[in-house]
Amino acid sequence: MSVSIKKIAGVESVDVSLKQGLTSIRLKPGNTVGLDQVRKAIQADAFSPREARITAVGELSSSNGKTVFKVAGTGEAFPVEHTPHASWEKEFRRAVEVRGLISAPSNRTELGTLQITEVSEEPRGTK
Amino acid sequence: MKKIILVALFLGAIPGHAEFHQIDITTFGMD
Repeated sequence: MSVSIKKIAGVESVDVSLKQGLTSIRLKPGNTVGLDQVRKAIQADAFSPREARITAVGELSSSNGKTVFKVAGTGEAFPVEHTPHASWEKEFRRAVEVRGLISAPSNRTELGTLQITEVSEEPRGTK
Repeated sequence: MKKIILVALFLGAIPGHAEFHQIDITTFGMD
């Protein structure tokens, strides 16, 4: 499975644990890799992708009254799960680094919903 | 070539640029 994922431009490293059923993908700075692209690579190898824990830089905004996280480099926009104890409005419209869990999509037209666990300022510079 | 790479890295650090850094995805093998 790692072979298909490694072929995606922008992928730095892939670590697959069949025992745990977990694929860890590290991406290069400046990549334009999309989650949907990764899911399709996994499916091409006859595996079924489920939820994904992600670290990504993008922008939070409101669309039709709902919070959305947009990964502008890929054009992917994930609806953000509402959390009554946290409000992300103060982070709107500026580049932030988001950590969270994206659910497995319920159908082929969806990307899944993002459950945010942490929001921080976009890290400066490259690692 | 080095200048081109440096410019590309700089562009990647400009606020507004978005990208995934890490994706840990759970997978299951199909029967």
